[in-house]
Amino acid sequence: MTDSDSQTKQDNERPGEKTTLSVYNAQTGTRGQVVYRRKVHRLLKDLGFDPETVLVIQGEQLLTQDETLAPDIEVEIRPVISGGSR
Amino acid sequence: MKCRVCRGKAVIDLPRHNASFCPACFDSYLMDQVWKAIDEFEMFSKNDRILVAVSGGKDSLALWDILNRLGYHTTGFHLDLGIGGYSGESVEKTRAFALRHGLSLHVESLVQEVGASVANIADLTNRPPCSACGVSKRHLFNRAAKTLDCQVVATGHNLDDEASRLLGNILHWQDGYLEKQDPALPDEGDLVRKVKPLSRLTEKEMAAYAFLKGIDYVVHECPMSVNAKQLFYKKIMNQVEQESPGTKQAFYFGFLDRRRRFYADKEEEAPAHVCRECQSPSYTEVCTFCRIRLKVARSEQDQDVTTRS
Repeated sequence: MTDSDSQTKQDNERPGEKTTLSVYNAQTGTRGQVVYRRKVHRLLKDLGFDPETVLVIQGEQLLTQDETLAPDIEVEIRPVISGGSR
Repeated sequence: MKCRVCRGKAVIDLPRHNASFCPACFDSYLMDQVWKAIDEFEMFSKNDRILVAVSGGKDSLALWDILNRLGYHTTGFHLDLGIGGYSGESVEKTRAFALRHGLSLHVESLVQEVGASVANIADLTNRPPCSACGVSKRHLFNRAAKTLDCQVVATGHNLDDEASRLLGNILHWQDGYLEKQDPALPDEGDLVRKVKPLSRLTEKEMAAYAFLKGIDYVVHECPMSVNAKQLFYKKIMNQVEQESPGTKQAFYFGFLDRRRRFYADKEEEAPAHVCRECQSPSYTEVCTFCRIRLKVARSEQDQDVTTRS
């Protein structure tokens, strides 16, 4: 097993853990189920979000990139970009 | 991840500073950045009355909160743009914030002032919606500042706004705009001073501040700005930032350091005219805002005639 395989296994769900996660996009107001990832940065990568452009919130807590996500609590992705040609 | 200052649990990481902060230390960092901007560009003093342009979004509400915490005299000004449910929510959240903090708020309506919403103005004048909105805001902010006896207009433009605007201005070599791209524009005649105290802070930092302070702001994007060019420039800047953290601030602050070298000999040119319609300072006989207002009025008259015939 390579280091990369090992990292992927750590980032993915563990035996007995939930395999999906509820995600709420605060800007579009949409909710959905996605593949559960343990780390915030992996979830954002899956969803195609640049970490600089969103806040990740779970259970009223602001999370950093290396934080572990709780599998049973909905995650809010809150985009921070605004503005037009001002 | 631990806070760089106190080693407590971090809630935000800032790659551009190679740092992470807990809520309390992040608050200190952010307040310090705002104070630095105010001080470096001599934006205002405790004797000034500041008109804070408040849209109901994270930046302007956070700015109002910060200036209030720093002990400045502020009056909020909100312009209802008439954009359906979006504007309704914006007015509601702005009023709720003012009420919660016991702050003075003045609200005006674009529909009452011009006779049309941003969308209708854009249709009737063939301007992009963001341009019609920008012209109207500049005019009405200045008028409100004078009416409400404020010496300064403060807006919530952040580092991302300024860096993306700079990118657009450089890509098209907009010398006129580059010359005036500054976090503090001095007053000129009847035009009051305009300042951007959040210009050292990113969009993400302002959103984190608003969240941590429990500020209830409009999260949804303005429906009129979906295809705005500035959003495209922001996307490009963020891609560069991801590859090379700190580039955004180096780009913008580097420009500010060099700008005086590029435009050193140029004197600030005050508007030569007074608008014959509204008596505001203007570069032409009729100011841009009044030209829009008159065009909207003419279009409505034409429509009335067509309907009657």
